[in-house]
Amino acid sequence: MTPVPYFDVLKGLGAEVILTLTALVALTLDLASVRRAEMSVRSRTIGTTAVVGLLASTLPLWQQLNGPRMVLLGGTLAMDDLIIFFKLVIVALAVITVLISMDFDVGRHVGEYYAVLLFGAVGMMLLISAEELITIFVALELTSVSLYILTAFHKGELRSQEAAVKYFMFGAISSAFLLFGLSYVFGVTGATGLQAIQDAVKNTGGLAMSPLLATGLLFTIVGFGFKVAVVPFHLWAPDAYEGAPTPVTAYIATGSKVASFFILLKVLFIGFAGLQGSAFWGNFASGWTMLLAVTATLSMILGNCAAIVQHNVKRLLAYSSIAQAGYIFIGLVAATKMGANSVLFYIIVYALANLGAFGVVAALSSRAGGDEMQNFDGMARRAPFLSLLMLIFVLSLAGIPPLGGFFGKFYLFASAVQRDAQHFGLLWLVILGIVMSAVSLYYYLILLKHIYVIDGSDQSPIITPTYLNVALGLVALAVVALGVYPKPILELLNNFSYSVIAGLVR
Amino acid sequence: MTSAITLNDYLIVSGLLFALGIAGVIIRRNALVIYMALEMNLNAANLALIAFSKFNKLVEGQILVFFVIAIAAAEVAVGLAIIVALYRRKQTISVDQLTTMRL
Amino acid sequence: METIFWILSAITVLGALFAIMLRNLVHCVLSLILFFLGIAGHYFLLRADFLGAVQILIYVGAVAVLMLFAIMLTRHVTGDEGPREVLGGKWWAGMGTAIIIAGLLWAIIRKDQLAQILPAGGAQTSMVEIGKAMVTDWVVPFEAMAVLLTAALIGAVVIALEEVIRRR
Repeated sequence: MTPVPYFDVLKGLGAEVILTLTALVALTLDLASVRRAEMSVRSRTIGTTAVVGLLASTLPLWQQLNGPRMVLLGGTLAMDDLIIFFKLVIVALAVITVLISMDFDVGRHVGEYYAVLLFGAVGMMLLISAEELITIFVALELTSVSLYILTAFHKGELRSQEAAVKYFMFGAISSAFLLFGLSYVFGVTGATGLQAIQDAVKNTGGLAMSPLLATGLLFTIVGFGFKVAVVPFHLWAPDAYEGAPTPVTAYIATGSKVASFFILLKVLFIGFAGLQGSAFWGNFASGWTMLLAVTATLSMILGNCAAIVQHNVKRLLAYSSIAQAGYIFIGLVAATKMGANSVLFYIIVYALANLGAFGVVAALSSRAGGDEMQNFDGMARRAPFLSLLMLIFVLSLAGIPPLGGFFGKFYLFASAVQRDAQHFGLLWLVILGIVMSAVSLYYYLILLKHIYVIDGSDQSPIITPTYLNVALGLVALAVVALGVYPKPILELLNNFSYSVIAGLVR
Repeated sequence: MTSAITLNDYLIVSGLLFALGIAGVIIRRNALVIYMALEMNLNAANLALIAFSKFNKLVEGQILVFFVIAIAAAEVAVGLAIIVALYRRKQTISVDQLTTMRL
Repeated sequence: METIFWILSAITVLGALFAIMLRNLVHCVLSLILFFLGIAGHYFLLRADFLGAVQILIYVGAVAVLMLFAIMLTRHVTGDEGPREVLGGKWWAGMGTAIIIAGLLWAIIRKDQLAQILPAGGAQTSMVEIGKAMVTDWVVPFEAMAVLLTAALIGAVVIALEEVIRRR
């Protein structure tokens, strides 16, 4: 047995260790010193502690940047620049979520709230650095369990409890499917490392057709389908998004989505690299690209159409997230380096815009008395700055140039067109995506109409704390910057994604 | 040939249990029984894992099962807490009554 | 060996079937315990002794007891599942789905080339081996597990406790 490089493991887990310790500090601090203080003071103190811890956790990450690619302990911990970059993205999303939460009533258990939020971030970061099925499963469960807990945190609201029950149940079903799928994958390939699975699949040529492996693949995709909420596995999302406390909704819709999509990309592109099949029009072959093409189609159609009839803003954004997951799947269907890059780029843009949108909803709905559409009537006059930010986020989600969403979507569609460029095999999916984007514009504009055109009965100005305005402003700036000048991030991703797509190149 | 039990026999039993678990989730309206059915699903997957682990002569399957058992215990604790909290507010745990949020 | 396998399988499947069909929740949990014990028996038969013991300790000793507690805390629902609920329209949908899934899996498993006899007897995986693996190759998920248990502990307490305090 080779000696275990514990020191390297500890170094690789530096950020996670700091976050776990911060969570414990937050718990203790809340219990020991500020328990009797005012609610807002407690929330600010513990929130600031969490932000400091999150920022401190980036120190080991910066240090590892530009290091060599390392895969420790058979893939339970992988380190390269792509992974570190996405860990930084998770930290950024968590920081904004904490800032949104500080302005939001999260109930009496402030210390526990931030501790569980940080545990969730630890789970997401472990998920991102995992290249091995057991670690992926455990990290995914850590993320999910933290999010179930956070969803139920709004003790006063019945909606929160109902949302938690639904989220938990669908989450548990998805875990069961995922585990069942993974057991077959492990059984057929005899491996749990993604790279080892790829080798096993490729070495035994006949294995690709093994019905057991196909079943395992199907169940695994169903399991992940629940986690990223694509049709037909989306049923939990609207209720969970609407019922959860809004900062938690933002966290579910961004942090966990980024981590889940990242790991889904890795599982498909590394683990199942030999089993893509084909989703080309008139030339379908069984494999995961075909499955994803079907779910992408359903998600784009159903997500966008269901969003039109919504009158709750959080619910509208939930259906829009389902549709967005459909667009992201187009990049996965392309199954090329460009496809991988476009997916990675788009999940960052999507996460920032969605986080910003939910952040604005959190800040305004708690002061306007609700998160229904009519609560936002005339918001442009009451809170002009946040309304402007909302405009940017929503237009980015709709894919209007020159915002990040437009470029991201363009890149996704381009990657699908470039794949099989002679026969335009994936053009059907792209056309559907474009048509559905046009549909989505309709409901995004309805939301903006409520904010900008319709006058509300209440005209009193809404004042939000400066730190929140600055934080959300920075998110909006990033969304604009990614659209106007995406080159640096694209180059970054282009250099990084070699490790992900190596298995697909034949 | 010392034993006629094959890997397939184990997989079939595991598949049958998984199917029963899914059936339980669909049939029952009581959140508690749905949790029980979900536990059944996890156990079915565990059985397949142990059989595969033995078949492949690898320890990984058993390690994963150990983790799954621990996770299931944690998940059940959280899930039952959620159910109890819902019951306190609503005096019911039937999933048909979860209708505060609609369209 | 063969006889034991079939007896255990029968116990497990019947336990599962009764757990999803009985109307009294306490009876459901008791069938579920039977199911858990059957699975544990399978583990012993597969020479995974450690996991068999863990299965009994955690599932029978903790999970099932926790479920009984939950039933008592949500007491008046114990008997309120009338025949309408169990024999309603969902009944056929559920059983249909189960038959379809089971049938498909059966067909797939039958067709697969892996159909070989399990190595009989075989060396049992010792506790020492698993324990060593936990702190060497699988140390990262092991630590993640610890964080998960902490999070679940905090979460379960916060979610379940609140109202009790408020009533005082």
